[in-house]
Amino acid sequence: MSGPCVAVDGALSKRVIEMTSENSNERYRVRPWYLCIDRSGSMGPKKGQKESESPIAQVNRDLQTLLVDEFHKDDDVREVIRLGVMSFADEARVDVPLCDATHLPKMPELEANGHTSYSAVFRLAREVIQKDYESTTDKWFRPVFALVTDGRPWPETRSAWEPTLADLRSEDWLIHPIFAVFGFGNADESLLESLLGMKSSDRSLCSAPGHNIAFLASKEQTPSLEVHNILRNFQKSVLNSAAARGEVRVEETLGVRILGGDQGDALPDHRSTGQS
Amino acid sequence: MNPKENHVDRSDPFRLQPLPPRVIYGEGTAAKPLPHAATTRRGYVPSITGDYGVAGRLEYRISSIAGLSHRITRQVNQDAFAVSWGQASGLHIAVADGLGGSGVFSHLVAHTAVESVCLLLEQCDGEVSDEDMSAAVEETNGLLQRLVQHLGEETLTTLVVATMRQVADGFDVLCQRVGDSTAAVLASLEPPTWTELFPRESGPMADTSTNSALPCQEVATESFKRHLPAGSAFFLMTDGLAVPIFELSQSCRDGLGSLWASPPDIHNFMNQLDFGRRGEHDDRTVAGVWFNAI
Repeated sequence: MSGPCVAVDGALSKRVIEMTSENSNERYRVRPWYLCIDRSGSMGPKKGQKESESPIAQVNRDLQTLLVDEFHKDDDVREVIRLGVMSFADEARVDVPLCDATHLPKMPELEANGHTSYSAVFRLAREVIQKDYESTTDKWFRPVFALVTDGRPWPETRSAWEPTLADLRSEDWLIHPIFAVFGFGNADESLLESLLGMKSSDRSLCSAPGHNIAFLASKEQTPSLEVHNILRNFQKSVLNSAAARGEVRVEETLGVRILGGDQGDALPDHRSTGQS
Repeated sequence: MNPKENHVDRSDPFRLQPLPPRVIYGEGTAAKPLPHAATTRRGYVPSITGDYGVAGRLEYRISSIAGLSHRITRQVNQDAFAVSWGQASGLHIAVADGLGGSGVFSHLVAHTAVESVCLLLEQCDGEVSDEDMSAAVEETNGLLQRLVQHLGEETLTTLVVATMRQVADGFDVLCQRVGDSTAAVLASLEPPTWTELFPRESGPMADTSTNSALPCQEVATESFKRHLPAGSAFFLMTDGLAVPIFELSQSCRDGLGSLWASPPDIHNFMNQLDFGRRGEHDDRTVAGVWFNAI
């Protein structure tokens, strides 16, 4: 399976694509997980904080742990999950094209700077998911769009990003993803909920409640620990969805609470009559 | 494996042979010990079941296994099968796939569906007609409606049922289905060749599937009647097997085609159904019928 080759590390992307090219006589059922990480300036070190203690440094450490612990070692995850990584600030980019992460030697190192543009990442995600779907022979379970963010879009306004969110979540789009939103730091609870369509001014976003889910890290902890808890939660979600195959299972963990969606079992029932 | 080693030694049909290792089609993780599956909270259902028998010159093998996904999430096999035989009506086999997303007790609905329809067909006085089979499916639907009402949940199942009667040079098959469980013929060619006998409704997504299921307000069945010559084999199966065979995997299609060109012994048949393949962890059920010359 290959994705658009727009990663910062072009050599890494090329290698991933080559190593995951498929025998056209053999197709597989896979669950694409798109991890989209906020790398705006607020993810960098705060005043007086060491670089190694910044949220972005923790993200980089946890991403590598995620790769090694889950994608390289866990058979259930390796069999079903395909991982793509995007990041965003003023603009959005693909850091790791959708791939069998077993073949991925290391995760990208992200640097924090710039503002936060949700419209950029929502627009890019829609393009990337569509291209990945068209370019693969695999049969997809509904993809998951996992957004990790520490703040709110700025300086862009809600009117700028909401239409791009509506495009990404539109049920008229065959492969619209399940949303999993992971917030920490200054992430706004009501904003996260509105990403799920729970409190949006645009009522068209409010369809299919319960198929999407948001998590918020406890603010009583250090930013570094918040990031760690959020990414641990992401990791558990991936693991659970791999174990359950056709289903996306999510659960609350220490230091993280669920804001919306079906607690414990967000199952997208895409069969019109049920799911085997 | 030499295909000849696969087939039953009729001089001693109960002979237990060592099972070959689990076959992997395409990519797949190495066979590993399977976790226990059954939970008494939803009733006990064995993780793997099988049956075999001979009805005149028709010989059948049936097996059903719980998918790894259900074992991991501690749910039971939601597929079911049943067989019946009437001197006048012929051999009847039904296979069903309880739709797990629709309810906790879908395995009960699937089991009830196959047992009901087989019992009703067995009671037919003579050759089963398309109308007889439709009536049996209708009556089964009514029974399922009452069951679902009793269970108090919107539980659904697919159903595919076939009646087979031997004739001089093979056997006639009448088959109906509701949902995406399917039927296929394996022609005795070199190599053996699969043909699905219902149109394949290949959903664009792996979690998109059947649009119809039982119970429902108005039963809409698909049906066919076909003569199968001696040497060909007829199969009913749920989508846990049909999808890899007919949509995803050439090696699975060829491998099982080769192994099932003639009836394997039941132990090998169950083992062969329990193949490994990356991403294939749905429940699987298959019934195979061969016209043989014992």
